[in-house]
Amino acid sequence: MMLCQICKANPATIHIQEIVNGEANTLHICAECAKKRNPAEGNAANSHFHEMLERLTQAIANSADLKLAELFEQNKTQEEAPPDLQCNVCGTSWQAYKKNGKVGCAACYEQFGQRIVEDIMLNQHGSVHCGKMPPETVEQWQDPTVSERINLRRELERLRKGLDESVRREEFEQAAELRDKIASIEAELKSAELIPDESAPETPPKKPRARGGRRKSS
Amino acid sequence: MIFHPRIRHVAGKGPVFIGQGPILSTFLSLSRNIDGFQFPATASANILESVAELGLAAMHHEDVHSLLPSMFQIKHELLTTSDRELLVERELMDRSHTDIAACRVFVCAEDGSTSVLLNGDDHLWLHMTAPGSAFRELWSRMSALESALARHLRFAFHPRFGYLTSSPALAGTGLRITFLIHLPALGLSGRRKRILERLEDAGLAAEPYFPVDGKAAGNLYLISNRTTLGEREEDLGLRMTEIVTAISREEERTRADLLTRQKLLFLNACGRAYGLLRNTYLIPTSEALDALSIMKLGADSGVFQDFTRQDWAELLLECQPAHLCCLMNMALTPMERGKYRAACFRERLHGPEAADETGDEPEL
Repeated sequence: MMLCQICKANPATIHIQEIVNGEANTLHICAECAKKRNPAEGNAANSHFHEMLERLTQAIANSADLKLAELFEQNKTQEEAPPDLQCNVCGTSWQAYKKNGKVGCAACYEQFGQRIVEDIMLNQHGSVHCGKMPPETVEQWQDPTVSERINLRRELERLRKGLDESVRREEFEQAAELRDKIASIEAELKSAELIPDESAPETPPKKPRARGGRRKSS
Repeated sequence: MIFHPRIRHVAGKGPVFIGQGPILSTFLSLSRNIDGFQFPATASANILESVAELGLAAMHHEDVHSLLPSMFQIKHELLTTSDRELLVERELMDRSHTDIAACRVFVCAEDGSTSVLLNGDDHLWLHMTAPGSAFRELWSRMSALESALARHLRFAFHPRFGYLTSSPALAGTGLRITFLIHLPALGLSGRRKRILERLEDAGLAAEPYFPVDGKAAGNLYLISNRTTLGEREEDLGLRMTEIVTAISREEERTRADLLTRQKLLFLNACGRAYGLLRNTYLIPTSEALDALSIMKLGADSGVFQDFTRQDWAELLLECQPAHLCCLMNMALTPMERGKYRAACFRERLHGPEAADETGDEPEL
């Protein structure tokens, strides 16, 4: 660790660059000496700005923990990738995808199954898309059999974030309530997913090969 | 002919995407694929052709066309290397899309604010730029364009993973939001690195706009999102706006602090940068960018009365290689570029006339 250039005792945490006669001089000093030198520099590190950044990044850090837990659960049930796994629509192999980070077609997302889900979730903000949707999807959502589970998953995402928040605020009664709600939705989702694909009425997609089999996910 | 006349015309519009203050510009790009067609990297020429045809047909519908003012289209292979370089400098094309590939089509609104690339990494790559911090305005334009296209095209969509893209890291919204930000004072105070590293915690990343040996020439950085799943586009954009605004305010505070506490040093740096640019006869890009950065710092702080931010924005574009070639309308060697770049600066800053060039030209 670099020591303060003024007191030579404390670790240098503040680095000041000055231009003197066209030469850049860097001064490495500790917060205390910086305060003595100029009060503004010592306080800079603790400014309002840092608090703000802290607050803005807090939410993400929490959801990242949650995601880690989810990933861990998924890993337990995940089987090894067969060496010759490839998409039977476009022929892109799992190895080729791993090499250049690009899939060949929309069907790859289904064909590579749980293994690609991990890559998609990596460093993301949440696990379910909640942005804009295409108009026909919105229509499809009118169909209760399709929309129900998607809505449940979104509700789950929302509740989990709420749970995190209330735990952080130490509102334990509300947290318990949320926890029960989450458990009941999880149970509901689980029972819904036990229904084999063929028994669930499928809305007729115009181009089934790019959309089929989405029930494997989650 | 080293430039396509259409591209020359767009380049003549001036620095439309560079604004004032530390946050110079906002860029938005949206990736979409047409359902039922393989992604460009693996697709056959036949499929690529169909995609290009479908995309162009959709863009010629009245409702889409009205959102792309006086748009024009050029086959990618008809663009020269200089054209493509110019488009990258103007933020109308991504550097990863400069390679020639089959059936790529470049579509651009004539005002230079919007471009669409067909058969890039994904079937459609919609890109928009605006000066300053302008997420709200850009997103409403982008969303309108996307919705109009979605009336004529069916995009590959998954209920859980959102819009499907060739790179799974982009799946979800398919949206990349980027801010171009100028941070000279935070760099001088030595706090820039720490602040930019913290962005990772917020799912954002900062990278140099002009990377030179791993450093950001001209103190210009791009801040963009790394997450595309689990957050609404508006929420992400507003969260980013808040963070980028906080950084910008911190930069301004640091500038004010520098100006009050180290006025002499501050004036010295500005004066030297001005002197260099006003009197140079040969200057490489990175040196020019660094001096321009200090000039902007001075202009923003009121040190230079007759050097406006508009002057600065124009010089920032003009000093880049493809723009210089476009300005001179000929291919230039690096040495020639250094010479003409210096001439641009001397002219703008009312420096001495061109030198007598009868002497020996230094060999490169």
